[in-house]
This record gives sequence, structure tokens and C-alpha cells, in this order.
Amino acid sequence: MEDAILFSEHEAVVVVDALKTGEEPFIFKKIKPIKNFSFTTHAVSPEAVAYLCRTLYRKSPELYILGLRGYNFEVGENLSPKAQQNLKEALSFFVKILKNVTPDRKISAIIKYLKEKSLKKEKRENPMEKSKKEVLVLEDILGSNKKVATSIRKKLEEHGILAVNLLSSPGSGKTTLLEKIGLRLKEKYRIGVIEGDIETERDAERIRKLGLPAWQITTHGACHLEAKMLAKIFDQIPADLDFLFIENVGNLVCPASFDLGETLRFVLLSVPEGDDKPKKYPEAFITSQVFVLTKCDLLPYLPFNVERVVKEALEINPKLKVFKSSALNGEGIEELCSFLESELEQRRAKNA
Amino acid sequence: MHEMSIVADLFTIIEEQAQQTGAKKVTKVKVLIGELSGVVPELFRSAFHSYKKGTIADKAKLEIKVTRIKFKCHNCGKEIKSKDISSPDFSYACPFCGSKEVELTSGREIYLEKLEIETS
Ligand SMILES: Nc1nc2c(ncn2[C@@H]2O[C@H](COP(=O)(O)OP(=O)(O)O)[C@@H](O)[C@H]2O)c(=O)[nH]1
Ligand SMILES: [Mg+2]
Ligand SMILES: [Zn+2]
Repeated sequence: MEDAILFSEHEAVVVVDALKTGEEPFIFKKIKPIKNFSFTTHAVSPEAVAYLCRTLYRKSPELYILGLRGYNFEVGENLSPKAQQNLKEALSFFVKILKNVTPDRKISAIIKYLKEKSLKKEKRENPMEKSKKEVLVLEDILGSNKKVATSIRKKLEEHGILAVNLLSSPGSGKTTLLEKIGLRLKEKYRIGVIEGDIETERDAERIRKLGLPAWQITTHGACHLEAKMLAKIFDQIPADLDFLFIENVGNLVCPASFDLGETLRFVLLSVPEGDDKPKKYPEAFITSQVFVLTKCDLLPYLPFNVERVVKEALEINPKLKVFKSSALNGEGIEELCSFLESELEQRRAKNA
Repeated sequence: MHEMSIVADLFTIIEEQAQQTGAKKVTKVKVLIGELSGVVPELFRSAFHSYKKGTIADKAKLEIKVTRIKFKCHNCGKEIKSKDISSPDFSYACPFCGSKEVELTSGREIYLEKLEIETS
């Protein structure tokens, strides 16, 4: 109670105490009145005293605690060397505050002033230190590719074209499968093929031999197609196509990250590549809707567990539609073609 | 190695941001890379440091945070923090209700999170 009277007679109060825990060498912080006392304890917190002071005397002095970190609290102990050091530092800090006290200057203003002064001093001593700033960006790095892909997808939808993006390692049989599918579908539908390769027109020429239009994109080193590469040749693609097949660059990793605006993504894996591949290339399997196991005519000659590969692929992506195919004996070509036809019809019915 | 073309796109964004914020220099670049994004952090790092030469981020440090795979279950609505995709018991299904109607919510992203810039 006496403390509350004392508080009420001053504009600012600094309570100094030793603390058993907390930061070294000392803490200095503003505290607010809190109603948390009970009269049975002899230890009433400064916050509670401030509360009494405000309630009884309608006074709210600026209130701070200067807590010195102490170490040995047994009776009769002297100040340990570390505590002495803490005391010295707290004292010099407090003297600085006292030196700056004027009748109309609050402690908070003094502290702000002292902080700015020490910052300026630091800058003087470290003129190389430039003003650094952090900028939160959170922008999709592939955003520009996605934008172009979205506009391609929109155009394809407007024209009612079903586009398939084929992903696989080099030599899994993408071009050969396209030849077979192309031959079978060209009687009834208008088909176009985009060939992505690092160099050469070879695959496009293979397709043209079948009498189908093909556009070659050579990436000159890049291991995948990007939407903007497609956008460059998009004007050449007739609007009345039914199917547009895009053979990506042979690579089971990189093309998976790049949306081309395709309607469906096919991932191909050939029997000679081994039955342990889906989990090694998860992104390709997760982003595809169709999984084609190619070169199934080779199954009798190789230790390859079809069940295992299908199970693993479905574990990664349960919605995958799985086809087994062989360009040699024609297995699965019919099924793939009727799947494509029914997808085309469904989509056209939906958009009609 | 598609990291180079991703880094090229990253620098387009960095230059844009530098212009908008009036940065004289970019001193740190922090990116988020999903573990399922197909980007190899080491390759990204070397692509970054060879691309940065002569740009506004000439001396910039690169910080890469690899983000884990997360799913959301459409059936029970729960968030699923997935096991490592290469682990034998990885499954693209909800461990709470068994539903396979799950959607990948994290793990494929390739994001520029923040930049540290100098304005004077
Ligand atoms: N045994 C067999 N070989 C195939 C099959 N499909 C393609 N091939 C062969 O695999 C090689 C690569 O095929 P290609 O279509 O050029 O693969 P791409 O690089 O994925 O386009 C060629 O020698 C093809 O003759 C198949 O179903 N069975
Ligand atoms: Mg090919
Ligand atoms: Zn669920």
C-alpha cells in the first residue's frame, strides 16, 4: 500500500530487482497494471502495485522494470563475478537514461532516442552497411509458362481439339506408338503431331510419311518442351483438327514440370526399362492421366513383373488409366484408340 | 537439366521485383522447391550461380527450402502430410478414411518466396 502511494507521487517509476531467470545481463521493459494480487502474500508484483495506484489514486505513472540477472540467491552469498558484471552494465545503461531525463520527456522517448543514436553510430563505424530490406514475393516461378499454357488450353477447347502430351524416356516408343495410333485414327479424324526433340527433324519426317501433318520443335539443348515454344507455332495448327499429339523430348523428369495446355498427359514406360520405374519418376506419374506400358511383345524375354509396375503406378496415382501396348503385334492399339475417341466425344458433348 | 530454364524465369521475376521496389542490388534470394517438383536443388543452385553473373543479383546468396508433399482428402477433408514418396509404404490415398479422392496441395511448387534487396 505504501508503494502505491509512492508510485502515485511520480511520473515515472523504475522497479529494480534481481531475477533468477531471464536474459543476461539485464532486462528493461515496460509493464502494465494488472490485478493479480492477494493480500496474504508479502510479495506483491509491481504490476499489482501499479493497479492499486491507478484504482486508489487515479494515477498511471510510466512504469518499467529493470531486472538484473542474478545467480546465487542463498542467504549470505556475495555478488558473484558474473552478477557484478551484469550490475555494472545495467548501471551504465540506467545512467544514460537519467542523463537524458527532462521534465517533459518520457522514458519511452529516451529509449527510442538512445536506440537511434546507437544505430547511427553503428552506421558511422560501418559505412559499407547499406540499408537492406526484405521483400516478400511468393510468386510461382513457372507462372509465365502456366499463363501461356492456359491460353493454349482455352484455344484448344474452343476448337474442340483434344491434345495429348506424351512423356517418356528416349526410345520408349513414343513415335512408333503415334505412327500406329495415327494410322488407325486418320481414316475418321483429322490429326496433327508436334514433335519435340533436342535436334533433327527425324520424328516429324516419320509422321509426315504417313500423310499426317507434323511440326518439329527443336529445343537446341533444352530437355523439355515449354508452352511458349508451342505458342510460337500455334498459328500454323489448323483449327479443325480432332486430335493434336505432342511428343515431348525424351526425358521422364523435366517435361513433367511444364504444362503445355494439353487435354491429357500420357506417360509411357517400355518393358526393357524395368518394372521399378514409377516411384523413381513420381512427378511424371502423378501428373498424367494415362499410363501406357509399351513393348509388351518383349515380356516373354525379360524378367518384368507387370503386376508390380501397375501396382506401383496406381499407388502413386490411383486415377491413372493403364494400357498395355505393342507396336509390333498391335496389342492395345485398338483399346487406346477407342479410349481417345470416347474422350473426344465426351468432351465435345460437354462443351456443346 | 531444366533447372537452367527455370532459373531464367526466376531472373525475369527478380528483375521485375527489383524495378518495382527500386532495388539497387539483390543480396539474397529465397526459393521454395517442392520435393515432387522435379527440380534438383544442387542443379538449381549451380544454375543460379552461373546465371546471376552480370545481373542485379550478381553477388546474391541463394537459400533453398525444400517443401514436403501434402495432400488434402476430398472425402473427410483432412490434411495429410505424406511419407517420403520413395518409401515402400507411400500411398496416394487418405490414411484416415482410405479414400483415393485426394489432391496434392503441396510438393510440386517452384516459388520465389522472398528477396533481400539494397535500396541505397
Ligand atoms: N519390340 C518393340 N520395339 C519397339 C516397340 N515400339 C518401338 N520399338 C522400338 O524402340 C525403338 C525406339 O522407338 P521410338 O518410337 O523411336 O521411341 P521414342 O524415342 O520414344 O520416340 C525403335 O527401335 C522401335 O522400333 C514395341 O512395341 N516393341
Ligand atoms: Mg521419338
Ligand atoms: Zn480421408
